[in-house]
Amino acid sequence: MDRLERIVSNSIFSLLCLLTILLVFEEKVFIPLWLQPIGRMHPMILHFPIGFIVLLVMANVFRSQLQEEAFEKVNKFLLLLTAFTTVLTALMGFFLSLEEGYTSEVLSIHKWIGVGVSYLMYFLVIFHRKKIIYRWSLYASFVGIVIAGHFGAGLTHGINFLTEPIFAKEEEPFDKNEPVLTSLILPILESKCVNCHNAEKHKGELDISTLEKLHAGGKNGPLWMAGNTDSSQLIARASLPLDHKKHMPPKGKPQLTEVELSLIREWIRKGADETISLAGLDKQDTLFVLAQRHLSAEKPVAGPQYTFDFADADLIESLNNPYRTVVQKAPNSPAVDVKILGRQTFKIELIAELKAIKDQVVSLDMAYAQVGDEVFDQLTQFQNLEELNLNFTNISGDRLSSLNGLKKLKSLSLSGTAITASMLEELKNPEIEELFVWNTPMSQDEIKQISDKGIKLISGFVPDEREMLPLTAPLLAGGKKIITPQDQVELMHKIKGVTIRYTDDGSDPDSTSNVYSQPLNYDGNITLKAYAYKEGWLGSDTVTFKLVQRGVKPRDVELLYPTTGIFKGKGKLTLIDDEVGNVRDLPYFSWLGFYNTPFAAIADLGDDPPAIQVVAFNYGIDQGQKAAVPASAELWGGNSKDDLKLLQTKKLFYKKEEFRDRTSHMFSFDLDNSKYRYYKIMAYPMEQLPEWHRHKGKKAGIFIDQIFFYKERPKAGSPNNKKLIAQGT
Amino acid sequence: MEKEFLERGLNINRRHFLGKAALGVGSAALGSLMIPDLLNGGSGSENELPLGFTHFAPKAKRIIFLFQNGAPSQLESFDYKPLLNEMYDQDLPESVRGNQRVTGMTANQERFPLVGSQFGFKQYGQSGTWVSDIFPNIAKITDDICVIKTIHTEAINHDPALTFFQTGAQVGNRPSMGSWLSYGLGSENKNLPAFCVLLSKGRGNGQGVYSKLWTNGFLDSVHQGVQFSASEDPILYLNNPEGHSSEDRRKMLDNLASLNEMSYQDFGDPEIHTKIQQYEMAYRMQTAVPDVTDISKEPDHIVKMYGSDCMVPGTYASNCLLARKLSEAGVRFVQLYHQGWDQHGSLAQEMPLQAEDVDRASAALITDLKQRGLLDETLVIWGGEFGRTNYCQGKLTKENYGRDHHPRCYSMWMAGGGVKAGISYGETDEFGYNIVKDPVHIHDLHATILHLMGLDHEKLTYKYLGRRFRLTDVHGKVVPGIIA
Repeated sequence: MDRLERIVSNSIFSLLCLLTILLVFEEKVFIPLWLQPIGRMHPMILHFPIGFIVLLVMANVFRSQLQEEAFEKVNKFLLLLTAFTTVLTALMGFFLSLEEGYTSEVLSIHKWIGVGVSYLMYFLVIFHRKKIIYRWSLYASFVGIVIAGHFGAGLTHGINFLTEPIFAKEEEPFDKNEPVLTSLILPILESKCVNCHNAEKHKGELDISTLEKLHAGGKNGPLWMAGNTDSSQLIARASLPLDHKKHMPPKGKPQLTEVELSLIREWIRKGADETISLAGLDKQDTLFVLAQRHLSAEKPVAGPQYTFDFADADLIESLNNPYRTVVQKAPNSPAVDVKILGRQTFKIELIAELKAIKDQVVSLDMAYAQVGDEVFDQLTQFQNLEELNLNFTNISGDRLSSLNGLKKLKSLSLSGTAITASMLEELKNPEIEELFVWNTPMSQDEIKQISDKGIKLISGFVPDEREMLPLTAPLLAGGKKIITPQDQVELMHKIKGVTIRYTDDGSDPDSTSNVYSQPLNYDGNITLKAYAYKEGWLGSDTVTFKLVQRGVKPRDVELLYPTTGIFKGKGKLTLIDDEVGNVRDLPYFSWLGFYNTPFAAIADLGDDPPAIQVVAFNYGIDQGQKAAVPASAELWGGNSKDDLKLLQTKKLFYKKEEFRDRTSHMFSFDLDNSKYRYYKIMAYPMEQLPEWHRHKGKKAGIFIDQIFFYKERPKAGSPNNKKLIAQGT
Repeated sequence: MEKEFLERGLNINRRHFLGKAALGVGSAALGSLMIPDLLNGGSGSENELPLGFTHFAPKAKRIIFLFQNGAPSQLESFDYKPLLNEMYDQDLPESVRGNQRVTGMTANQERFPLVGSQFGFKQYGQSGTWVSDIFPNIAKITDDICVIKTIHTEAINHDPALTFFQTGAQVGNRPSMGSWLSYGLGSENKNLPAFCVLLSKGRGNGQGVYSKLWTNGFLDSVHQGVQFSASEDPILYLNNPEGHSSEDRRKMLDNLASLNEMSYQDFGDPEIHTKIQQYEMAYRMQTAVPDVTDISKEPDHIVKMYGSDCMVPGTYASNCLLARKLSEAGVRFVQLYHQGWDQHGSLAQEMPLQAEDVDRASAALITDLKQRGLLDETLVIWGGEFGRTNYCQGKLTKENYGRDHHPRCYSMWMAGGGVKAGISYGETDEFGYNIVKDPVHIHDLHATILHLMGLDHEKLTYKYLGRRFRLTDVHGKVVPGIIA
């Protein structure tokens, strides 16, 4: 193998490997300073591969003009040169692209074509003996290099460089005749420097708010020395490392961008000519190019500009506590927002302590703070305050005029305070835009009068007396539907001044029914119906509460079969927890579900059991869940858990017309004063759901919620008789 | 002899290969010198800016998201399409439907008969925004809201679409929007959670909501949404036990803290200090939460504003009122879910009931924020997980119809917090089926919401399982057209 070929081919291979790995980890690549000059040689080296490949293509096109042997030698030599310089150029270009300011779409096209051609070159070196492949790949590479070169030129000269003389240029809103100093450089200084170097605040004795003052410079002399960038304060300080004590602008404040700094540097280098304008510059002049790049750079969103200084970040942090939140608006804004939290916990110190950042506070929200007029003594110190929220504080409004010193105040919220129109008259802040006066003693007429003077007064929601809205239905206090004769049954309504009328005999209440005035007592099962009404509102719907007596509460209860799957309710205590299962919750929460086993529970009434007349349980029906009426139920009794005898067996029937879907029902056994310590209640799911059912033919489940034991049959309205479809056997 | 030739050839190849490999490895080694993070797994610092700070000046400080769970029909609310009424019971042209997939629920339907809104539409406000007659109160605030008619999403079924809307991904376990904001901006009120969740049920066909929708995902669990209970006590276990006064509690905590401090001196475990702080926060919540839930300072007519059910815990109206109070107290993100918007059938009956539940309270919330001077810093968002089809699902009768899921376009509205007021953004075709102008993808909406909160959606990242995650994943463009 030819020695030269081997050396070059191996070099190309290793350079390509390097390029590949750098491309893969491009985001993480960090180019050390000493390598940067290599990158910057890209614009020089790139001419070699272009020249070489033109020669190489020529040689191949005019191959017949050359001797066979001579062509082979020339061809290989040129090929190796072209390939090597191409890959080298690509690598250098990659280094250069990592420097700042190269992020455009054009760069990306240029880069990837360059990379592609580099790989193609290695391919050519390997296959240069296969004539057909070689020739076509060569022409492809040539085209690639030309295109890459075109986009590369676009990067430095502008993408329309070639066609520019032919096509008319787009109009530029920027005035090219204005001097560079006033049209470009001063705006940069104004946005980045004037915050600290102005007429009011001239740090380092420097004020750049006017052109004359700018010339005067600061305590270290003038800002620039014409033609000498190194001795120019402005450039020197801005070029120091960010962490350096003398770096400008200081760390944490908006920095000059690369382009801005280069632009100023170039202008000084050119002699700091204050009359020079873009119109007088050659288009390829560096200053011109930099100015173009600066003008085309994306402008940041303009927020309000503040001239006061940044507060110390640690100071802001230290002012935060559970009752006060203090935050800087944004990293590039010195403005600070304050929010006071908590009503009863308010102390005037929470405001007084803000003295340290009184210039920076632009918004203060202290709604609901338990504070009176003494707060005005504190508020006057915040000269830059723009938004103040005093909603629902206890201020009287008499001292509102002391806010007149706040010249920047734009928005003032006084909703829910005692202020009146005459107090507002005293308010004379020049910048005020919005006043929030909802829920104050002011009348709509007064509000309109003040609005006419040009201030935006927000009076908020004013109820329309004629508009009638429905009330919600009364609520059962505590929601307890299982009661004892001692329990106070309370009806309530959250809206003040509402009248509740109710019945407890099952009839619908109307305007002649009892007015609810005090808690009720019932010693039987009861159906309570109630509605609410109030002047200016539509009456509510009627609501029904079925109240059930607790009766004798078992000491303990035990489930003989586990519940099925996830339908475990709250365990065995679900049966005696005094909370009626809500049908809407079926089959979850307070319902115990049994599909594969019967329901069987043993209740323990204690060693001195009372005489029981009724034993009952309630069950829920839900077609979707196949929760149905039990097929049959059994009651067992005895004084020992191991020795229970069957007292009763009942069959139940599931009829479509009598059982609406998603309802709950009571089922009961009548006894004749039986005195057992233990009762076992059993219920069996249906083997097959009836014909009309959505899940006909399938096995049913049962869902049980509470069990009850009564010493005497519950009185009127007792639900246990109504839905009883049982027949004794 | 032949064998030796062969071996020689093999050797050359092997040597050749090894040589090349060495060159390659050498280059890689050289390259790695320039990639400091390549072999040590990264520098650890993932964010250019510290957390708890915005990337730029925010327009909104807080968000209240009125999520309409189940997907309300855009054709009966904000996207007025009279053509559908004219073409009643005619088939949806193939050219309009294109290759759009349909759900399993209508895939077997023989035809797709178009159906228009049963409810009238009118234009309201200076903006002339179209609103259906079943939202009379929202119609009154059209000049304060920005209706976006061209929201579109990727999923066609509830759970993935809901998960996608809340977390930016259809699969579960990514952090929810509120968690990202809590992570990015921190809490404004350290006495309350930064992300609260309130649930309510409507009267229409409902779809479930699950706690995975307000999950912190891989973020720290302090960013998880805190679900409030729909009862008189939205946060349980805050009251002192019977017979214990607040002073007792204070004394107990002080003594406990001194004991803990002794323990800290012995062991130096920082978790002990964390514990002391947790006790203190719980103590502060004992006053902060009643402060928030207290309405004694507010006028009686607040009830008339939100409707009387705002006094019944667990209703949408009471959640709106509570959301306003939480937001006012500095809760960064209040997320409401109102269930019952899944009108596959019985749309004509259910939609007015659903609208009645939310219309008054939603409008009242905007008015209420406005009259307190809070609307400019609070972003309110109203909408569901996708839209509904312009054709009928199931049996089409004069009285009733249903609509299936439609992810290609639907309507939402936003208000306050730096959003343009009184505009309608984007357009759908006259069939209300495809977007013709200014589409807004969910990712775009997320990017815009973060932008309004002062966060760059591309910079708010969290490194997990070796990659940086964002709410918008690798998508999302801020929509400048809706930003004031």
